[in-house]
Amino acid sequence: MKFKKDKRSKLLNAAKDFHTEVLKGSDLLHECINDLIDRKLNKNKLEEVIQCEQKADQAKENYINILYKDKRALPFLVEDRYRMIKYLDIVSDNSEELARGLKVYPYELFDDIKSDMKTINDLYQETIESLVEMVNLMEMDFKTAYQKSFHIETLKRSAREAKYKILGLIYQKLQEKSLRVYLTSKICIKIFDMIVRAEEISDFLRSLIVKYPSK
Amino acid sequence: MALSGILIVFLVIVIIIAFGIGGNDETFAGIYGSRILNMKQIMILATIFAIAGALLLGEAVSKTVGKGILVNLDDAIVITILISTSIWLILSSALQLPISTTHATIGAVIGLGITLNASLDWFKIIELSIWWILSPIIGYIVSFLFFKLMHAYKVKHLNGFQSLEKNEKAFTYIVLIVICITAFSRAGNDCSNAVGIVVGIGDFQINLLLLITGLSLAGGLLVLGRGVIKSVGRITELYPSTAFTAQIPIAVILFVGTALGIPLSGSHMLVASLVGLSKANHTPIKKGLWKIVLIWFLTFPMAGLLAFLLYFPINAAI
Repeated sequence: MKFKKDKRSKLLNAAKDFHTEVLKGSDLLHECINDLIDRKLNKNKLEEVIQCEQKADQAKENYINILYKDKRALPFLVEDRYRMIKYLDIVSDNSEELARGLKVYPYELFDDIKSDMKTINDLYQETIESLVEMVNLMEMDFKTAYQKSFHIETLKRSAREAKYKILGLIYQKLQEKSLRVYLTSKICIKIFDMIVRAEEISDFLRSLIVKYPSK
Repeated sequence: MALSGILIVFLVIVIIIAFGIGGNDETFAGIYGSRILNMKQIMILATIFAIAGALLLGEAVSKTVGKGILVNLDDAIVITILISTSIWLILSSALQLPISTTHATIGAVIGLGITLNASLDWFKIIELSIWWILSPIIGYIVSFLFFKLMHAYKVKHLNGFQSLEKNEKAFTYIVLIVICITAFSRAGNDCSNAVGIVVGIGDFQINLLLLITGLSLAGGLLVLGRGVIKSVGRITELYPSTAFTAQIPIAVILFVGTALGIPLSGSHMLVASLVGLSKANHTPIKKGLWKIVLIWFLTFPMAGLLAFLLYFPINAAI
């Protein structure tokens, strides 16, 4: 009995470590984008986001090892947990990708998009937090996790509005350098894409809840 | 023909019959569908229980096939019925489709009865046909209601992976134990169908005969049975708890039905119960169900036709 509990807590701890690293990376990225908005972008902080992705990768490997070590685990749960890991890893990868993009971004943000960039950035952080929370809830509480997925959907809708507001402002800047316009719009689009991806993952988690006999 | 020659011929027939029956055994479909065990593990378990069931339970039973339908049975008739049934079982198993051994046997009996212009107990045939139609209906309704009941009182209250895992693991053991018992008793029963024709002929070592039958059942399972198990196990998405819902009440009803002398079809009930389960659980049914239903309808005439074609050569040989 004790052995079984140990195995379970080992698995849960591995999951927690992985989720923490993913969340840390997205929190740092959120800070970096805020720094970009405030014109004080710190490249070391961006480097930390990249390191977080590497740490998340290590935590992921450890989690997968523990997951597949348990020969008595139910195959469908192992597969579903594995898919969840894979999807969360994409979140972490996307954070790293944007961090690398910001590192080489040569411009400042346009002043008139700053407030909407802040909005979409906050929505990004909230979405990832909600997603990680939802993943944690999947272990103990399907009902709350299910409701959380609708909250993530609402966040995506708000983010979409912010995105087009920003793009609408950027695309009117005909006198600005086309490269600046292009790269700035890319940042906005990338942030929104990360939110969309998080929403897709929450949809997947919702489909898991629905497919189980306990729905 | 010398007695030893006859014994060899009968032994070959026993092997064919046991192979055919083993090939169409879908007992482990729930275990495969819910992925409690993989196919390799299932084959090992199925082989063990086929041989054990044949050796330990087979001796007690020697069954006269066709009893109560055809009057004045002789060896040629019994062998024709069993071979026709086996051929149809092997053909349907090769197509990965589960059929009812009983209905194939009855089809062969009727076909032979018509061929020989023998007196058939039509009342009995109608009674059997009614049960043939009722079996899937019972399977559907029972599994539908049982799922709803289980869902309302147990499964619905599961919340999260951890409680789901705990619950499903508990069902894993229950399903595994019950299905192994079913496989064991089914092997004993199936063995009697095959061995029945040689009991009393010559000086057979009964244990050796039962071992050969058990091995032939296992051979059928290994060669053809895996396809049938796969096709039944994939009718709908299964978890250990839903496999329990689909298979256990059916096993209980079959047991009670057999005790009461009601000729229910286990295969029909199981397939229908999986359909009932998918309806109750709102999970999709995999494609190809129509093939199973079609082969059910073809079983009667095809087994009858085979019996018609085989009787005269068999009669001449014996």
